[in-house]
Amino acid sequence: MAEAKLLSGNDACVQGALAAGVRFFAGYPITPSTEIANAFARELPGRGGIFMQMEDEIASMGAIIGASCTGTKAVTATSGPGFSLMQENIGYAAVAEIPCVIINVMRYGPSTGLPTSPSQGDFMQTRWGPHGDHPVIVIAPYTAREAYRETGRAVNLSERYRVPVIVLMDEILGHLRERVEFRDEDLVQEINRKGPDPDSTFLPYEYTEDGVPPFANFGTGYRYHITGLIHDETGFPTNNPVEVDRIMRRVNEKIELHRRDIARTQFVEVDDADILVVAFGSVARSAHEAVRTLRQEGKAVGMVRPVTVWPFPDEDIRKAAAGKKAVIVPEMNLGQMVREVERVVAGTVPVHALNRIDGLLITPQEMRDLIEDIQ
Amino acid sequence: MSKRWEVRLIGTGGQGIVTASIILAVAALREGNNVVQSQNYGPEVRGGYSTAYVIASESSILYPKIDRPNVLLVMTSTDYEKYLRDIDDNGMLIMNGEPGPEKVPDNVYFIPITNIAHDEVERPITANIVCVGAVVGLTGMVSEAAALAAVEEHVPAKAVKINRRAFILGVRAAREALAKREASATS
Repeated sequence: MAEAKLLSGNDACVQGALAAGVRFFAGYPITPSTEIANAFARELPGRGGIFMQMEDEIASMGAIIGASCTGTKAVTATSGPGFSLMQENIGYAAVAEIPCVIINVMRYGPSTGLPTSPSQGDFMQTRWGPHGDHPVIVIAPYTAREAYRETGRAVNLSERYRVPVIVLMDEILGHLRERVEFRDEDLVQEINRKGPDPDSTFLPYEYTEDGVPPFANFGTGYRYHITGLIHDETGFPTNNPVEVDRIMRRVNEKIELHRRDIARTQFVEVDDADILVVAFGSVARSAHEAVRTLRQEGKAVGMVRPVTVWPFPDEDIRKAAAGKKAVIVPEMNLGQMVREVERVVAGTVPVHALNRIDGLLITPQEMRDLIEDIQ
Repeated sequence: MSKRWEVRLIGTGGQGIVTASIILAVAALREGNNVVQSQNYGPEVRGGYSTAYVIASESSILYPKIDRPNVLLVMTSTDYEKYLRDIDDNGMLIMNGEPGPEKVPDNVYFIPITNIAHDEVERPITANIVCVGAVVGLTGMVSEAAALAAVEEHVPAKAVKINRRAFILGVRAAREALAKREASATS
């Protein structure tokens, strides 16, 4: 497809978003995501797009929601402190079903934390940051090549399912540059949201077979109401319990309905493994390395890596863990994804957490040590 | 390239060592290797502590960090003993400066990088490119041609000539250091 080049994780996100048709970025620079804003500022004007430096992250989310309402594919990027500020508007986008993509390059928190150190402390926040039951998709790449492809996929999923999609990066992946050689499977196809049928009456929150209502872009002749209040299919607020229950079930269940299209999980030497490592993001690079070297020594170790981390790949983990001697969940936090793994395996296999919160990446050696202890 | 090269550069912010590490990474990539490059720094823009590193290998690079580099170049100190324990057992340590009168271990090299940039290139800003020349000359991790091409790509068009000179002088200093080491080993 193209010659090999040196590409950073942050730049790869931008390239992937542009390939998927993103033409609007609003954001407030913050380490370690700033390079994403820089690259959009460089790339968008020449493509007829718009870059807006905002006063804060609350406004940044507001701006991408507004841009998306016009049919423009819109992205913002931030890190922990900014991501916290975005939660209210992410909830708004989720219930009003506005497509948008948020790239969160995790750094050590809470609060200002360690600005230049990595962490995976936002795993649960990406799922449960906004209040109330709400749909969201979260994708966590682990290489620059994947950051390209998965950011492109994030844009497409947000368009197809009218849902906020979070690309969950971390400082290590954002800031490293590595050899990237794109192949045909990395090609990002542009997918656009479904529009209204001109031959029938437009209902902005219509109940359709696929659970996703058509979106009438602002300025295309349709007049309707968008609100964060719970609404019926006309878009106007309602507190009718029947209508409230109906719409909120549809909004949340559309993700489950399309789980097969949304899910992506990597399996590494799982079938004959005694011990299974479940890891995501940069930590999965260490896990993968540990599996590679342990296999060379004849040890039966495998890895499952959720690429789509939310919705959590329950079935993939359950099947992969079945009959194993132990499951190890390494994370750069005090144990967040491990709760999901424990829920899924439900006591059938012992689950060991391996946690590091000193601002450094868990090493392959630490995983080897734990695996040897268990064996 | 049959081994996994793990090269770390230590300097202060503004010295250009991140650029130096990117140049080494691009040269290794052009020669068909897998590479990972990254950096650590404090919150300051200039003057703060700054390290950059490159991993280059024929096999795929999963773990993206260096624990004990096999090449460590220190721009900011000549106290080599302090850094010896940070490198791999078969590693090489490159210090910016002139050695003292005492005999240094075989894996420690002194290259007066700052002085070369200041006195010979007459552009102190090119110290990071002298540093690229020194690493390439001492290790052979990439060919001089690939490194020079990468240098030319990463400096402003109007400064190509002066940076080419900086690179060549870095390589030359490395060769002299190697020759001197060989002479003292055989004497």
